[in-house]
Amino acid sequence: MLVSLDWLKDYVTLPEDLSPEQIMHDLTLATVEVEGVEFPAERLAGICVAEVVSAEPVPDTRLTMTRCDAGEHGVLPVVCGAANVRAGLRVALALPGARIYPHGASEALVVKQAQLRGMDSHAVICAADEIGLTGVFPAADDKTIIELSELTEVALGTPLADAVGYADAVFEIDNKSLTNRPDLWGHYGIARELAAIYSAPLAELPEAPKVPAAQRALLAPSEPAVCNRFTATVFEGVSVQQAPLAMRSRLARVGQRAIDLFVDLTNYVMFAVGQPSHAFDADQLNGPLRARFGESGEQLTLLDGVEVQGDPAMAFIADESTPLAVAGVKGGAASGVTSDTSRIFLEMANFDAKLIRAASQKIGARTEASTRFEKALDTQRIDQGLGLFHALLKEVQPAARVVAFQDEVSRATERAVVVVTHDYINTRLGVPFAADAIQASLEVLGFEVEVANDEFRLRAPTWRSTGDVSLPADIVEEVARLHGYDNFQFVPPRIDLTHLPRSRRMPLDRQVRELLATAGLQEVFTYPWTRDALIEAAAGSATDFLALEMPPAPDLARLRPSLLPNLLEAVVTNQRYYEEFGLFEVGSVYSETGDRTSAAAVLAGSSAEGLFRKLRGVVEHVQRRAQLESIRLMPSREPHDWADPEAQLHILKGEERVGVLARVSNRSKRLSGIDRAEVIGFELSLAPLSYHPTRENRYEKVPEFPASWFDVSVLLADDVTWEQVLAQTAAIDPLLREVRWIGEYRGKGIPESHRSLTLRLVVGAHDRTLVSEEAEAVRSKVVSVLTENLSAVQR
Amino acid sequence: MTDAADDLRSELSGALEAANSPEAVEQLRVAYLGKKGKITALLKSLGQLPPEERKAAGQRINQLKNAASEELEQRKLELVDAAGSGVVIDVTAPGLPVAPGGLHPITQMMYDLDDAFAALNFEVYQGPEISTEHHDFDNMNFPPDHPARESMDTYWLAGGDGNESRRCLRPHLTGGSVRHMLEGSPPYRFVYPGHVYRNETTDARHERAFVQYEALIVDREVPFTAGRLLIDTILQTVFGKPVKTRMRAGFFPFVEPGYEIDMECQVCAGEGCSVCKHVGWLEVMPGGVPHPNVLRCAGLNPDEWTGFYVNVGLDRLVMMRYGIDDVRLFHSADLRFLHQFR
Ligand SMILES: [Zn+2]
Repeated sequence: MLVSLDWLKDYVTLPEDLSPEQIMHDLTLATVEVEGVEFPAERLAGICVAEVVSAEPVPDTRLTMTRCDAGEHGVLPVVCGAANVRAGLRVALALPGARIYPHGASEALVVKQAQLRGMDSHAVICAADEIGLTGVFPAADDKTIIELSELTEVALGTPLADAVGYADAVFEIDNKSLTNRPDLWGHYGIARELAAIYSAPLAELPEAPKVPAAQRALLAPSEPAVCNRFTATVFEGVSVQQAPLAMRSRLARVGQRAIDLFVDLTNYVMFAVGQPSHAFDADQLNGPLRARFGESGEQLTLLDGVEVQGDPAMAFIADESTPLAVAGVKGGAASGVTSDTSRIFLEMANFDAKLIRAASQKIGARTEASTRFEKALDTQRIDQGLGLFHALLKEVQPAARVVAFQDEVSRATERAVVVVTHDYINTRLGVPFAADAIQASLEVLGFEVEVANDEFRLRAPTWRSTGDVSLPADIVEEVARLHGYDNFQFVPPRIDLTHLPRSRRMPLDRQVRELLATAGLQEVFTYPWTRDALIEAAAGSATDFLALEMPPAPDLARLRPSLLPNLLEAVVTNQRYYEEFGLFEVGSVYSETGDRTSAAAVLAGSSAEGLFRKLRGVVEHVQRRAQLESIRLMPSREPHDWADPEAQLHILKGEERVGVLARVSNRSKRLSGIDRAEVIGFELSLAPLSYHPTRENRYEKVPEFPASWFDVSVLLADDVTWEQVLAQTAAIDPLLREVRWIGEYRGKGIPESHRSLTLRLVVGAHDRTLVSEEAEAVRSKVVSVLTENLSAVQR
Repeated sequence: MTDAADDLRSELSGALEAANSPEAVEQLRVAYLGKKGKITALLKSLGQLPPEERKAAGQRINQLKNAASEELEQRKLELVDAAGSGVVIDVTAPGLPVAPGGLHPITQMMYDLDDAFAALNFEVYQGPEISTEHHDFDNMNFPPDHPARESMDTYWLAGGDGNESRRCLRPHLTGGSVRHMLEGSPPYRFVYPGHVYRNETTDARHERAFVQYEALIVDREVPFTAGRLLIDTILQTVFGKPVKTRMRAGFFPFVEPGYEIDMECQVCAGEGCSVCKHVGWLEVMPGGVPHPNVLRCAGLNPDEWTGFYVNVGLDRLVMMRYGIDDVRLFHSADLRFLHQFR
């Protein structure tokens, strides 16, 4: 919303030395966010009022050679191409140095002395659109120059900005910060806030004259659910012309272009006090008007030509035969004021806020009127609106007469009553305020204050009573913001140490994230939704999806049942730039029962075997470092969405499967678009996991006597697993402390489908140092067990 | 005899001085202490001395032998140490990366904040992402016809039989805070970090998925200025130094009174620049006293309990921390971006 300082000054007498920047700051801190301030005169710099003293057509062209009297700037030769240029005309003359925007140009043109077809031209006579004044001087076309016929009293050479009232400061207020303050949607409301902030006097608005009741009914009973108050005023003896320059100028400065006197008057009243209204041509109406719900089958053509279908979810203003306007949103074309209108029917009413919002959404028209009505206006504001309308019309058209008036009220806004104790206010603010100071600041805002026994009994003004103020907390806010939030001293909170629950240790998801990151994987965030194609690629078995009603894209409706699909997509994102990398995500996965936290990782690179062992190491690292209650890894060939059953481990807690660690299958890779790379992944559901309540392992005595070790290489068929080797050698001899994996080798000298496995045997006794014969005996035991049971061949 | 010993001693010292390799020292050892060495020869000549002189001369020559032996060894070690390792290292080659992994920059910020609040004895709460209209709107002081309830802002889930409350991806965290309070007993002091989702058109400043951080105190007496503790903790953690803030009037349905909290623009130090639209301040978070209706929904009597609440978008703070110019990078999973923050 744009607010003119010049306009505000009609209503509030501000301290003289107050700068617009200071007002912007103070209003922002106490009331609403002022996003900026502009000075419209800057756009008109170097343009002055001048008079054409002579105008001679240039033969064989459409040009006119003129001389323009620009007062102190002299009499200048100017070549002009407009058809309406003529001697005696007052014009807007752009002097050298001024910036203008020739028809349609987005970049400014700087005026300078020039020659046109050999003729001197030392200035430019401006059209409205060249200097951004179409709102004030509506023109038939962009070849028509502004005719300043209303400025005959102004001295020639006067800056145009001064002459048309543009020496102003215009504030831009963030509409969002006004959402809950319907009282601020007009200059008078903002002026009231400034009066409170600066303890400045606020002017009274003119009262509406008492008008005898209408002889015949202007209004029929309205639907109470639609309309809280409906007033009708009929004026006769009006003529529809242009509004006076001062009014057009103000409207233009706040972004509203001039249309005709009555549209401009209703707009002016709306921007002044926030009350919308609508002027009908009284002679186009058939019988009394009322506000009612739309009916299906009805049609209405709006002022802008749009066709609206009747609907019980929106409200119409209608006469006896037909709908005339969408109530509170927009008027119809047929009943609008035209240049032939001589009698005006002014509708000024108050409508149900929700209905207005629904209707404006329905017809896709958010107008200045609907924006205000949907905030819930008070019914008493109509009195202010009428008073102002009467006063303005009387000034502009003294001949206009009010001939009839009718006022139907079904629900007047009641003043909200709030009772709040002095102590409550002071406790919540943390600073003692004197009762009379509280009373004074609330009274400036229009509250009626009664103080008794340390208690304030407050009646809020109607303009704050439509939902804005209703609670003691609202009163605290009023006192605090007028005092200035920044003027309060910091009071540290007093904290009761005995009650707060406190998490015993780091949440598991954080622990897992940190462990995965230190293990060399990079955390990523992916979206909660997953592409259908990726679900097909990597989560095909899921059935109970949660899906979005309005997804970001048609194939993104389903929420991820697993983290793997999106991680595979992340592999695709990165495979162009990296040969080997690891990614993980800890986040929600979704099913019909809701969401649960899952951890997943992928390693991409070239060697499946190496990557697999690396990722297995990561899982073991997480399990050990996070002190997870025993989870174990178990080979499985059970088919699982993305896993290659030939290279798969189930992650088990007890007998429950809580995760899978596997090579990503060729099919999943192909369908998700991964080329070349091998990918190993795991996914682990965190919900079933818990920290070991304390620590799970027991101390073992440190061996007193040194152990010795030696390596053994054996040839084994590929279907013999490491786990089998461990199982065979486990309880073979009390002197064998450990069998360690050293490495495996395939290739030259090793038969097809075999590998050479190198083991390290660690031997030792707790009570002596072994002699070499004892160690040798263990070695041959191991070799013979492997040879007999696993068909190993010693190398 | 003693003269000869002294001469040999200084001769050896001079020779050692001149020796420039361990091998040269070894040659000197042979030349003086070997079987045919000069000191060995002197020792052998003892027999030719008169018996009464032998003892003193013997002691003298043995001293010489020990001193010479020590001096030789010392010189040899010196030369070995000085010889260098023969290893060639290009010390200017880049360091090898230590485990190239890392946390997402938003996670890092979240944990920085968790730790800062944990130090103030705040609890860290985590709630579900799938929520309901009941929790996130009815309980939250949103009027039944509030625009945020319409599908354009919130990701409503498809289906539902119409009897139960509509389900959604949580559009904010405050509904979860209320849920948490319903489960416990006051006073409360907790933070609540989490992902939230809104149906928006995305661009460099807008995302559909983002991370919020909520901090809440509820107690019997919490003057609103005490809320600055929450604000200052957050901003000091993020920027590593005290940051000037201001509170101004603002309206949010969860709070009454509500404040908009601005911080001094860190780019221009409050002078005004294009980042802060020339006002010197940047809007960072809304805050305020929990609305009486919100407290009521949390099972608390608003006449008895009050508090302070802030809610901050971590995405924006992380963007400010590093100077990131496009919010969509956070969900890009692009390692070229993410690796910059490990
Ligand atoms: Zn700045």
